[in-house]
Amino acid sequence: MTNSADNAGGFDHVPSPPGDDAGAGTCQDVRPLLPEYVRGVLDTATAWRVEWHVAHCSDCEVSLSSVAALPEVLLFDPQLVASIPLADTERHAMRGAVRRAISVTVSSRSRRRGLLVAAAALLAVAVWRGGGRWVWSGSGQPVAPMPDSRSEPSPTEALMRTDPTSAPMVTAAQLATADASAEFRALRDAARELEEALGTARDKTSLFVFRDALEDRRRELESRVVRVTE
Amino acid sequence: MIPGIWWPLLAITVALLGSPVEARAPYGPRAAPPRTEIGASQAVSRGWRVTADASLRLYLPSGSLRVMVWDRDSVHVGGTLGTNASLFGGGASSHVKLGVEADDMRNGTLPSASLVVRVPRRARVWVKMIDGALSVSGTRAELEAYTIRGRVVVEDVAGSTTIESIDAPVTLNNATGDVRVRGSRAIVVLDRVNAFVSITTVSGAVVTTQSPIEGRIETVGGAITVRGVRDGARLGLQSHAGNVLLELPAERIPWMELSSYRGVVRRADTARGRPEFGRIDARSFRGNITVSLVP
Repeated sequence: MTNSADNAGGFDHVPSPPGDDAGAGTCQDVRPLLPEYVRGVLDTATAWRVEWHVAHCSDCEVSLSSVAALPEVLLFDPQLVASIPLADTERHAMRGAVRRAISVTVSSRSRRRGLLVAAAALLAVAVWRGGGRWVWSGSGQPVAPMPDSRSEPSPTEALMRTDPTSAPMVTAAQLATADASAEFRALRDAARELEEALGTARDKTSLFVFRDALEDRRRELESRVVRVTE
Repeated sequence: MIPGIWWPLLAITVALLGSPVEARAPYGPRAAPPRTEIGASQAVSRGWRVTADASLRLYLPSGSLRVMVWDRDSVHVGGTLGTNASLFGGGASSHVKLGVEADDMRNGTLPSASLVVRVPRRARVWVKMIDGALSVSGTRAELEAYTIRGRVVVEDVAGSTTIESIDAPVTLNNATGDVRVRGSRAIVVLDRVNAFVSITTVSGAVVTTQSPIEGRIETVGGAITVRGVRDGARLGLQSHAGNVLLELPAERIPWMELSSYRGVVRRADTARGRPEFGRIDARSFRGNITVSLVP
């Protein structure tokens, strides 16, 4: 682990992963990928390189924590962002919040707190502009008025509009991602082992069954991580 | 004759004695409960009328949740709420949503509670937790449970049972119907599960005792242990790296097909296997497969 201030400048201080000629990448390479990594949309090889780098770089580990703590809307899920009517300036501010979270370092904790406050403020703006459909306050009342607040919704309607577990969503996502990461690594290791066997096997038919099973387990785990954090 | 100075005190006493009556009279004529907010750190006891086959959605981020059945057409929630936690509930007689949410969203800890929920026997129950102990017993229709961490114990259930966890060990005792478990790195234990099963884990082990009548068990790195099968059972077992152990009665050996690509298959006297005692198809990429006959 290192805390070198040169890390963010691209100094390649992280050893290459075993058997990976592409290397671990510099901090500059890895940090822009962190939002996609948190959202779980990177391909397995890139995700593996990000994990390897973060495991060996304390600065990027802090950046990953900051990114993971951001509200999901700030991570640019295209569908989610598109559903919220934002002005260009607001959208620009959201991108800026993510950029600053990515570049956060260990030495700038106060700045990080400020960013989180800014992110929360942006989220409140986004919720207000989006009609308050998906965030509720702790007291159970909507942060912003419902879009159709002309008539009072029935208790059933009000409850069905939101999933209450979305409140601790970030925490749930962090727990699920942390717990599942070792399992994803186990799946990748098994897949590598199987690919090696497929390269030398005469009769590959029986091995395809195992390969299909690994792919099924990977998909199951991915969808489960999403389901338990929804 | 009561002196005038005591009247206010008497009024307060009557009010205090009267208030729990309202809180303990949950089964009023109103079928659809309103959204309910109850303060943190306090005991809770609430109930609502529902139909016998109502759909229930229960949310508890952290703590313990015990779901039990009773022969009444109502739902009752009892227990205690932790700090920074509020109970909410709502729905109609055919569907109810109950859960615990945080009072203060800025508080980083998960809202927690220790709850016992009583539901109609034929209710369809859906539970989501993040990190806690979940125990369900007696459901007869449908059970779905999702959790990340903690522990899940399900007993004496029938119908359709689905359990998904990331890191919570799952124990199923005495189940019938259809059982589906999706685990990851924690152990899955099935004891007397007379059901059609579909069990998968990544690195978690699977142990069955006198269990499935038909189904598949698949792991990547987890060991699979099958202790006895029911007559006529049909089981498919597959593991990438986990070992497979079959402990079978010597007098009732099922027909078996066993193969391991890189591992070792240690067969006991399996040539005597007969289909009427069951059929087991086990394969592994590099795990060992061992058959052990027990008297």
